[in-house]
Amino acid sequence: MTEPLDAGGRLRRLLAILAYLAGVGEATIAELSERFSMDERALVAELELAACCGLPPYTPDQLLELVLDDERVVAYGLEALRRPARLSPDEGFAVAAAARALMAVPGADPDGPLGSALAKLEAALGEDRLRVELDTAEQTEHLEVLRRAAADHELVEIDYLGGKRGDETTRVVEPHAVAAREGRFYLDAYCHLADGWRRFQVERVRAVRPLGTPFSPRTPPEELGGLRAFAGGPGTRLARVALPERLQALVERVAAGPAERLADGRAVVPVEVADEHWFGLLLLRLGPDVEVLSPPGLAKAGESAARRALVRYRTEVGASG
Amino acid sequence: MSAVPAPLRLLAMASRPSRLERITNLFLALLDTPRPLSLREIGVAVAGYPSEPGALRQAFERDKRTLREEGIPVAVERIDGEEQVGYRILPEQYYLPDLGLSTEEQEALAFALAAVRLEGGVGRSALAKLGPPAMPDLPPVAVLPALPALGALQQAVRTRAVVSFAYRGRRRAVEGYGLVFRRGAWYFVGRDEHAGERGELRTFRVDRLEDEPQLGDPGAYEPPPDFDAAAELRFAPWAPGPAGAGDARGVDGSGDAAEVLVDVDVREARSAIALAGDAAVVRRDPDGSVRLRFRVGDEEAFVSWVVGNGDAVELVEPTRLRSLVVERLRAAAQPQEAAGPSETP
Repeated sequence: MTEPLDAGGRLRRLLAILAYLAGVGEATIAELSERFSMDERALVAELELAACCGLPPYTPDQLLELVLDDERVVAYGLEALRRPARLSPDEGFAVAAAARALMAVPGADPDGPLGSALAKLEAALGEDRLRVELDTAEQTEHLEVLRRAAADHELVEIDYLGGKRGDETTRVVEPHAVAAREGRFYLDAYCHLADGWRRFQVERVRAVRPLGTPFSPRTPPEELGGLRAFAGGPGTRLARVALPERLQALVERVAAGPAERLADGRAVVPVEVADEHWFGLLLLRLGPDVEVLSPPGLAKAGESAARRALVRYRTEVGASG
Repeated sequence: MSAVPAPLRLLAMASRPSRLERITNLFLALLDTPRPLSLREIGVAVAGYPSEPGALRQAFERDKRTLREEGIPVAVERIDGEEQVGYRILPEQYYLPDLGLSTEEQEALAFALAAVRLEGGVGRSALAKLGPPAMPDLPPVAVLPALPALGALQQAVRTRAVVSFAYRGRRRAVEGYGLVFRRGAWYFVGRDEHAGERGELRTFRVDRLEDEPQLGDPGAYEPPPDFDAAAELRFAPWAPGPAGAGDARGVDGSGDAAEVLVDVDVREARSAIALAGDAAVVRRDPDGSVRLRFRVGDEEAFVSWVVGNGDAVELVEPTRLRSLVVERLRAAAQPQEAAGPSETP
């Protein structure tokens, strides 16, 4: 499938194809179609067009030499197109951001090959002045052990703090991956206690004990693959929260979709809720002007979170009650 | 066997060349020429251009703009003769200079691009240009959004070009000093020429830019030496206003900032320290909880932060703010329908 491109986008793609052909000399249509995500007919049409291009006076010896048959294309010469062009701003950014992010992973070696590669890129492209922070916490001591267990497919036992006070569990898990998302490191693992996939905040892992037992890796569910930290999964409910416009920015990061506008000017934001306590705290943070429109089961999440918090202030509650 | 026999190719060209064909021809001619070509020369020599001067100029300007949008540098140079300006693509500006990357360095970059997921990014095409071996798919080590504006902003920072864009309904002209990724969002830090009387330091959330950033001429400014963009981002919700970090003042510059004492349990300890700073730690307990003392500029925001952390954070002092927290929690603990001065839970 090919999306329609404007002339600039088509030129970019054509130059990429020609640069590739200049390097390899010859390729099958099928391979090119796969590599450049174009359907074969569109690809052939583009190559036929390119075969009509060249330098003035456009005599046959001045045209790009592309020879096509039903299955393959052979390129001669194309010297001018062989050397790669400069990185576009987007490409330059992608390389620098990926490298800076990897350097921000605790334990990265600033003097290793990645560091020197970045220095060479900066020498050629200019200082990137790019800073990537992966976690709010400077040190996340269990990261390395979890990462190694994930790479080696080794079972680990973890002590994990839940969202509620005093909620600490010990679980045997099959670590799959440890990744930074939205400013925190998360462990994706198959949890034997829950008998399902879970995403754990590495910051809340109190202890890790590698068990020395291998496991055969499972395929993680699709919902763990996305960009966001929140992974959903079974038991997730969709809440609809009405709030004044000035508070809308506060829920931007947890919104599951676009906001609607009510007749009274308030915004209605959809929020996916896997953990009622988390949702209760969100409601507390937003304050008294927030209303849970649905589902009814979540309307009281704020109340219970507030009651739980008041336990810490029991003196005042007793005095005024 | 060629795709189309040569005479037919010429015929195809003569009939009605597509715009892509014309731009491709223009690109090849400008890259090949040893001297700048005038517009008239382009019109005569390069296939596909109309002969009428007005139409020629219009078609050429449009193609030149497209080339530049694709990052292809079309140089404009003074030439002798009637037209005075000529155009070409200088090979040294077009081709990627030899970066001199070792195999190890190429592999390190390839690994970085495989391990860091840039949602919507163009890592793959960059990888092809840098020439490192392709890497297999790995579970990501970090996942970052790659917003369309980031490439241009980064380019502005690298080349010291003033960048202009709309933000919160106003036009900005910013000398970019750095880009920071923190807590899931990209921030652009720099001096906004339109802020204050002589321009002031500002931070912009990149996903809230309201249009495409436009770059001015390169080399327009020098960022202050040793500038740390990350230090400019004040994230504590209770942070004071635009004055410097560190000296906490009221949001309106009204002076006194309250000193507060909070107990934070292990669940939120790290995040709270990240917000308040290491210097705020008064005590660390064996169960992982901490006591913090620090100054807050915006009391209302601070109270909301405490309330929003539920039973993970307890505000100990001052008493005045502590009763505000209790008040808010008690109100929130009332059933929604029957809000009012009812009994305690």
